[in-house]
Amino acid sequence: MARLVRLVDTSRRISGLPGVLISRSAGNWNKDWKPGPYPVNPEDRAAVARKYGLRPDEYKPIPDDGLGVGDYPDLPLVTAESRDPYYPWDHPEHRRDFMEPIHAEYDMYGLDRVNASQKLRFSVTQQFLAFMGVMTFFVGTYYLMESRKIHWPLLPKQYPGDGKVHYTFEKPE
Amino acid sequence: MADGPESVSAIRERAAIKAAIKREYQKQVLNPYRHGSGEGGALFDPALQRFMSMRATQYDFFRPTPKASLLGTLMIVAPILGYGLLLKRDKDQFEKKIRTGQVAYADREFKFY
Repeated sequence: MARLVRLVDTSRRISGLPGVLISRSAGNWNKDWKPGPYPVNPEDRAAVARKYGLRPDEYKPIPDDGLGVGDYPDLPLVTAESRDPYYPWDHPEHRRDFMEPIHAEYDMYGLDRVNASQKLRFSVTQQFLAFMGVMTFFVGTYYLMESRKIHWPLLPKQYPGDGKVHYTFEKPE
Repeated sequence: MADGPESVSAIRERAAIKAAIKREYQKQVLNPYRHGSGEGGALFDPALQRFMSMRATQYDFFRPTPKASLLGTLMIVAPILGYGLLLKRDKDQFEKKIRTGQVAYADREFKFY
């Protein structure tokens, strides 16, 4: 870990770029890169924001309600499909730049998955009401008319059976 | 509003940092000697690594709060127990019907062997 830090400092001085981490991939362990504990002090928040490449005033951790993830930031959701297709992204297949902080549910919002940040033509409420309206019409019609069916005007078929008389051959008057 | 995250100075700062990172990315990606130094392949992205480590260690940050416990009960325990109870009730009713002789031989369950 100390060698990594020294490498970071050297590379920072060389490239003159604060915050850019150029490290060798000689083992990147989860314990070094996992989020820290939820930040409670304001001083911690500034340092953590810098770690994630955000400004301190735009850093907001995911709420710690038992289902949280430590100090990982709660980024505004902009799915891949909602991003500008003509901008020269570093990774065009994800519409993401190099070292851009990643949303906590990034794998759900790629180009091939759900686009939750789009502006819908019909809101979800409208869609649901339209669906329920159509289904209510069909189901309601079935429910009301199932016991009131209409049949063709037919009499029962006259089969020959023992003792049954369907036609007596009388002369017409 | 002059110093907030949506102010002009903040936007300029962010744009400058983004341009610098982009320049650096292009330099590193097009560096023909990167493979020779042993580090080749995809350029290491710390943001991506942090995301992956976060997802791999999500359980470390779980705490049994009321909200989390309620969610677990509703989504995991309740469906399993509920389905088991429904199934048992169904089966018991049918067995009662059989044992009291209300099911005809023609309506028995296993007819085809």
